[in-house]
Amino acid sequence: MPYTFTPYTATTAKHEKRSLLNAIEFSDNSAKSEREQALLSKALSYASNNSTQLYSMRDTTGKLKGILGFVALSASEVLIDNHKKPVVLVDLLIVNNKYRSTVYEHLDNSKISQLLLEYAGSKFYDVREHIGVSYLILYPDGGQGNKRLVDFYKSRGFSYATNKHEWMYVKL
Amino acid sequence: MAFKYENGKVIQVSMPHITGEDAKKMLNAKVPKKFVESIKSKKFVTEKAA
Repeated sequence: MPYTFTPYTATTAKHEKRSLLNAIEFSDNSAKSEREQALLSKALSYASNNSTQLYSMRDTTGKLKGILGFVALSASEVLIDNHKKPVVLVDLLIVNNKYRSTVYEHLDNSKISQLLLEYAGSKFYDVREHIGVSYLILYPDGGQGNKRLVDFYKSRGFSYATNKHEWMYVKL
Repeated sequence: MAFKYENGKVIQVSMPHITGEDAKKMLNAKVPKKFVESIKSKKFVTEKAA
């Protein structure tokens, strides 16, 4: 495969936090950059106590250098009426600013964000081989104000859970 | 656990409780074929943990 994913142990997330935070470029917009750094930092903190599993993505062909993006996943549950439904939660999905919004022919003609989300989907199915899970869910950064992001998730089959336009889910 | 960034801080967001019509919609949601096909058509490689 032209790309691979690396999971980080809790120890690495703890001891390599600074270098992992410096491993990608954030948005050119300073406010957005601050927000992205804070969210990645929080994900690393949670990864350091096994509350989320953090993965990085790399290009194995060497065409794109360094870490292309991160995705962090955890197990959770939602309450639908009175039914508890186990879910896989996408805690974080972030693409290195250098590689955003570009479709890469050598990476399955895909954007990095698309591959990170599909990887999350593949992990969902891995989990389902061992324990029951019903939905892949996430809370889009910036909420419905971030139309581009929300449209991206909608294009992959996600829907808002309620008319508060916060949580999004996909049934898999 | 999920996070959102608000007023310069990262806040943990509570998991949702979905009721009424929203609950019906979610329980009866269809699996998006295109997304699933896209996932299953790829062989994702996960390296040894770092």
